[in-house]
Amino acid sequence: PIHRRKRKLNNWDVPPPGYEGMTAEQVKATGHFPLPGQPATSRPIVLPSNPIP
Amino acid sequence: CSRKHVKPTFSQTILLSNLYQNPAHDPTCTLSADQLQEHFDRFYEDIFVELAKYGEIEEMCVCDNVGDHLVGNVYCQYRYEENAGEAVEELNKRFYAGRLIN
Repeated sequence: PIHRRKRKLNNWDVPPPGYEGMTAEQVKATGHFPLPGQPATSRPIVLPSNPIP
Repeated sequence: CSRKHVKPTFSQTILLSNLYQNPAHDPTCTLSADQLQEHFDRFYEDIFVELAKYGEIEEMCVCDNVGDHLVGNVYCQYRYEENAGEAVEELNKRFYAGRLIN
């Protein structure tokens, strides 16, 4: 069965560095990672010093 | 994209935009053709196996165009629309390799 297949990679659910502990929704809401086709926000990208646990 | 596309409400096919980062597009890339193929195969397997958890997959494609809005796009067609809908819902809450899934 496919769900038992051994994979050589496992990149699923790896958050961006500096955003550990945040959900994908929270990270999207920061606007630091624009959706494709949208311009990046003019705000400088600042990595949070203490991400939300 | 500069063109007007209508986003469908229901579809069997889902799009994960810009997900595959082909090392060949990096000008400093020194991988051989075999290594590039292997890199891609591992990625494809990792994605396919995970997406198969959401339902039966008819077909899955990874786009190798270099256009901004096309590069690395993964298109996955499910047998059933409901599975595609659930997959989108769930994937929007997940990360892949330190990146967001849209």
